[in-house]
Amino acid sequence: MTFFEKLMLARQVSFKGGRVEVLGGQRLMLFQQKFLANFTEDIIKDAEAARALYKDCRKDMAENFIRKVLGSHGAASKKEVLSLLGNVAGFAGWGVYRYESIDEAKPRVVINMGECIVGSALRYKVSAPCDHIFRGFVAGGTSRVYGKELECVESSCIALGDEHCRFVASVREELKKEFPELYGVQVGD
Amino acid sequence: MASFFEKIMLARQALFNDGNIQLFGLRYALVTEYFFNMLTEKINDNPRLSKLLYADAKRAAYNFALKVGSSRSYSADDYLKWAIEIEEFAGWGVLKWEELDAKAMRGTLTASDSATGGYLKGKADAPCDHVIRGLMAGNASCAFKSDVDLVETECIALGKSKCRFEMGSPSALMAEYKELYDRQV
Repeated sequence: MTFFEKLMLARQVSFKGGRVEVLGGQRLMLFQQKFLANFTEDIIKDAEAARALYKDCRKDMAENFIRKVLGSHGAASKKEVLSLLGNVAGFAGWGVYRYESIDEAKPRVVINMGECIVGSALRYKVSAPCDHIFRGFVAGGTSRVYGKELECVESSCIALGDEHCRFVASVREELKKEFPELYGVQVGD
Repeated sequence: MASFFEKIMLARQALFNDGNIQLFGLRYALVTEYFFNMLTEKINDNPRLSKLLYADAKRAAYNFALKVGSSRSYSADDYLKWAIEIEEFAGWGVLKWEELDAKAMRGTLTASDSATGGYLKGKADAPCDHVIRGLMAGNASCAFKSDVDLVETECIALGKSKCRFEMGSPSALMAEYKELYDRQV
């Protein structure tokens, strides 16, 4: 059963009256892949704008979406919440995710995403990882789960010919050490 | 009577597989209203960026109309009436053609319950529904086989009860709504 089918059965998703609502009434909108890709391609011509896009997604995810979703679904373990977030990302059409590793102590979460919606549309059209929107969602989501300010870098990207997109979320100091160049470009200070 | 959602699900024209949403064979993703509204709030005072948002939405919708509309032999009139059902299904609010003249390529569209308009109520100094405008401009340009645009003449964010859009050729809109056209398109 797909996650969408589970949501439908649980009446946790509705398409009605000009609204798409999911998990306790969170409103969403459907964006065509071409729009997301065009917009990303236009925005990333300016590195500062790309970082700002990432930060907005991070803020939204941490402060709004997850807070409300968890509010309507009660307490759960961190791994259960991460699993839910991954399922929601997949249901929302962002790609086929897999947790490569989760280190709760650090914390450090690594996600592999196959057929990432923006990356796959921009294959060989960009010269740097381009999934800033999803990267922001990962940073915000994991920050909320672990109660700490986490950032996220994209270390592989389908758009550059890699097999999948790879997102690494952790505390700033760890990411700066592990990916100094990527961190500077994708997150900044 | 089956809702639009039920109809397209039954016809297998909307697929929600894990990782992949498809509508009429084109890929889509769901985005939270908060993120999108925050983004719009930031760029609404910057005509260059809000025009970019409009243009990107217009291109995407043109792409959709080209793929979907052409395979169904709709008249322009019928296609545009159907297109608002698609955009409603996609969560952009309740849309209605108050007037539509396909021959003249003119129309007046209203939107109730726009997520962005509602969010920016009291915070915006200018109409803010750039994506709805762009989506319908793209759909209409393909349906008419001629470039048209939409300008937003009234907006929930500015205190109106509905958002209102005027559709026409660039020259027609420039003649009637020059200031809005220059700022929005």
